[in-house]
Amino acid sequence: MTISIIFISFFLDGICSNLLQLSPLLYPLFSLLSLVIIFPYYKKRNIKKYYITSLLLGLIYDVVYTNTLFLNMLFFFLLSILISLLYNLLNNTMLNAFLISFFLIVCYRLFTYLVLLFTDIVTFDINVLFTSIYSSLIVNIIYLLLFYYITKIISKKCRIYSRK
Amino acid sequence: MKKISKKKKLRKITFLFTIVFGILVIILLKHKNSLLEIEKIGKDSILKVQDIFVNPFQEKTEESIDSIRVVNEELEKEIKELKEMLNLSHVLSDKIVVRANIVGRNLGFFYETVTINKGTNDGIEEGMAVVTSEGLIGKTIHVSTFFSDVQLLTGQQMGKISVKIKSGETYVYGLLVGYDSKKNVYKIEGISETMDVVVGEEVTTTGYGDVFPSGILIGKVSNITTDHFDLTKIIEVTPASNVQDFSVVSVLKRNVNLQ
Repeated sequence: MTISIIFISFFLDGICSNLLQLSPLLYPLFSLLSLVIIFPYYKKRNIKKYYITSLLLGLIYDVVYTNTLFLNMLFFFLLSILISLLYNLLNNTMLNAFLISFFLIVCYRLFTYLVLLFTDIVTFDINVLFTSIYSSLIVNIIYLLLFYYITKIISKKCRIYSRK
Repeated sequence: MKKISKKKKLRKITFLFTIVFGILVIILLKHKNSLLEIEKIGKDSILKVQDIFVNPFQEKTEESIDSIRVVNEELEKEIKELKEMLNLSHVLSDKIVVRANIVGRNLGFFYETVTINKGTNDGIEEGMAVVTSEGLIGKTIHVSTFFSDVQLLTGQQMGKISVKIKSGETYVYGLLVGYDSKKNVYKIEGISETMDVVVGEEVTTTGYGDVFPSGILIGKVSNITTDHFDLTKIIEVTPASNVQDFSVVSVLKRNVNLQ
């Protein structure tokens, strides 16, 4: 289940980046959000596997899509820690998944921008940062809510473990 | 007690891992210019799979009528002179056009890059000019066997490009320094206040440097202002090609036989 969620999200990331090209408001971050969707399917004792999955996903994301080797690997790992902390405080509901995703997108864009700023790859422009955040929100939140709903139904039908 | 110390140890390891990794990332970002071999293999294999899904939605490159409309009076003049000098009946251009489809777009948001489905297998190298039917859009930066990343002119990492603007019978030379996303214009600096530039004139590449050949259309002059000291002009240029909406591009490949 978790592998197929990651697999679908990862490929949709690449495909949709091209198909949704016409609107500057639609920048997909599906791979990152797949970490929010899969977390409830890891039992507490398997949490290490979740972190390793996030590291690997980040590495492949770097190699295939961004060419910034290890940058997303590190961010995906740190954000997966953040997800686990937030899920420990909040219940596994659609509203909470939405809130976590919102927070995650903001953190991801902010972290990336700060590192690129620090390494002189981009010059400071607060508008670019805000654009990157709001342009990522709409399509990604819709994707998360849809995928969350679908996986919930599948996990109920197939009796797959998920956290309450 | 044992559980708490184990948790503390885990936290310490995570913290150390993050610090070491963070330093590694910063070093790599600062010094890595081309793709590692392992990255090339990974990129090629995964994007090939993705290409199978995207392919039905794409325009067929070979079937599309993506002829490059480049106004190049200077080059025509040069060709004419060379033909007369060398008594040649045919002169070939020193660039070969390779058409490619866009398969991925700017996933590393701040980089302003697109991925095209042509790589070293098709003779693409780093630093080749990429154009659409309307004009220049960027240059290739990372090249793997079957795919290449194109740095768009709209990106901050593009650097300065030498350009020329027609002014009567002569050209005025300047530097394209960046892109204003709010106004959707490129900015040109380095032109003296005394030079005559008219709104509506075409802006093309000069051919200085190894990347862009001379005469590729970039856009048209849309606004002219001066800097704070009234010494140089700041020229805004409306891009000739739509910077958002393009799916087929052409890479201007160097013709090895002529070099």
